[in-house]
Amino acid sequence: MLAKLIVLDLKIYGKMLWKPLSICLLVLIASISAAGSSLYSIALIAGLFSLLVAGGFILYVMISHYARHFYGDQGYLIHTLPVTPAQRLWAKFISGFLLYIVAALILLSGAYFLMRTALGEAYDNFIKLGGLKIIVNYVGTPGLLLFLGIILFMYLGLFANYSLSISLGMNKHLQRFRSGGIAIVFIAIFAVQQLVNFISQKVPLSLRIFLNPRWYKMMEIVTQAPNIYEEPLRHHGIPSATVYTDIGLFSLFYSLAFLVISFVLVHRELKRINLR
Amino acid sequence: MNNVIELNRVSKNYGSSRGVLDLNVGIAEGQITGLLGPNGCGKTTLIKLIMGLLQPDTGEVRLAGKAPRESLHLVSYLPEKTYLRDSITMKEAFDVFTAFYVDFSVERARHILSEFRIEERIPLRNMSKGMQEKAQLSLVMGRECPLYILDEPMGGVDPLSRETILREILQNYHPGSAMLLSTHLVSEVESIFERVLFMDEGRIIEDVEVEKIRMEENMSIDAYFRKIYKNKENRHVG
Amino acid sequence: MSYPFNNEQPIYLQLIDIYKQKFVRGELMDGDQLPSVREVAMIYGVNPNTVQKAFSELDRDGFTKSERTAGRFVTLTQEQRKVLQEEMARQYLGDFLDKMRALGIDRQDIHRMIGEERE
Repeated sequence: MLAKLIVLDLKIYGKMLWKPLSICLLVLIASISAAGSSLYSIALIAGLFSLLVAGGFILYVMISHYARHFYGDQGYLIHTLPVTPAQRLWAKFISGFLLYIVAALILLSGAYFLMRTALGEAYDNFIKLGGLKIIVNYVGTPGLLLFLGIILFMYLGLFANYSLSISLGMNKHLQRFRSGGIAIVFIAIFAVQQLVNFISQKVPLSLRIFLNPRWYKMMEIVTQAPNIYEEPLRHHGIPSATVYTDIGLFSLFYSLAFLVISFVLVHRELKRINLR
Repeated sequence: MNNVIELNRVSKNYGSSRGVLDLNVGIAEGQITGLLGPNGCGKTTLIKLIMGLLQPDTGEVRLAGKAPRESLHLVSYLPEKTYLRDSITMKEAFDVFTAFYVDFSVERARHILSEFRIEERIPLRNMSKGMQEKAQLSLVMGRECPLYILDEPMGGVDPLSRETILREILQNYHPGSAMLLSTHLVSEVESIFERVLFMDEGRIIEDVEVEKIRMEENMSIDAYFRKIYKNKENRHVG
Repeated sequence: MSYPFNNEQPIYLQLIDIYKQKFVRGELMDGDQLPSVREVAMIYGVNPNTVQKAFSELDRDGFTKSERTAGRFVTLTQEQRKVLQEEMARQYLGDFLDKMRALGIDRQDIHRMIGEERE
């Protein structure tokens, strides 16, 4: 049943996205093929713009589909299908994640091709010097895994934010404000997040993530307030090989708690849906 | 006989005046029950409560003895609204129903659709409102299950089509199943009801056996309906 | 098929009447099979349980008999048919006379009107 729900969502994403994404792809191809010509700076901007638009469209489809399926007229079908509320929620989460991966691939590969043609000769030289290999070696496999982990975490945060805003915003008590309810919840989430970040910067407890991690030392907890800016450690004028970024522990725990709580709350709201 | 639907002291306040109050009713297996009343009296609210699309403020709703969302596979529901996305074709809709409902028969649904002279491959947005309603009916009656709930199945449809719809409902209605049909077009449908619930301002004001009314009052249900609501009006005024 | 019933009277009684007429007219004879409850419900656009009630009464009065899987069959000898015809005729006549009386028309006028009425 869960797979069927996911397939249903994917089909709808496909139908809604194939036209706009095709257009963006055409613009991208056009701007890449304009490399070397005098128009190239304009083409580059157009290319970058098309990537942004593609990403924006995907995000729009992901979020509006969630709202429409659960709270629009289609809700009369979705909420009466013989599946559990948990399955309905997981289907949105997973299909949204697949869409997110597609978006990431499009953006990354699109940006790659643009940069490659934009840098032209410089890129070829970069490759000859073994450019990419140097970066990969510096970062290492654990670094790549960390990078992937961060991408996944970003999706979790995105989903938690929009699902909670929409589902809580459309619950029994806030329904009367229609989309105003969603805005209220979203602003509240944002405000709390800012507050937490602020507090977290004052608290001398951080998770230090090394950007060139080794298996034995990817992260460590330090009793310092988070150093938001990347700064290589300098001891006696000798730059250290370690580069890191800090996350306040308070902020981190809040984020994790937020993910769990939002999932629980959204699930609860789906179990007691009130569809106008 | 077990009740396939049970409402016990169910109330729902909608904020505006469209709530329901203290509903106590049971719908038995194998009966076709009519839900009648003027617009805004709470028929759709009652149906949404049965389907779990609304949560009661007080009281309990039981569908086949359990909470509504646990018995959804037993109900074929036709809402008042169009619940399919407007880009969908009926062929795609049949695929969705086949995927989610084991009791759905594509052949039967297809047959009903052809009786209505609706093409399988055109998107819903290219159909008139009446055609959309008939198309949805083909999905709902294409299923064979213990309970059918139809909310105003003839709402936006022309008089000629109403007869066809009624025939399709009777032809495809699984014998022994229960059906709850809400409508404000009483005279055209009254022949299929065994029992009728009259609603007004959120309450069930009468619960009658149809043939008994005909026998005892020598009235059609349509005439009886008018009589009841006229009395209500007079009581308000007088 | 146009709806043959009058919604002001119990439909099951009207259904019984329709079938009795069929029996008397010879449209359905001894040994003929009746259509199923479902079919009849669909043809006339009425609740299947109403048809069931009508048919059960026909069974009870001995006009029909329901064989479990084979279906429902007419069980009406020629004698019984004649009796039924007489019974129904008298009933209709009684109804007619009641109506005429309600209009204040006496026996003589009834006879005259019948004479004037074309075949």
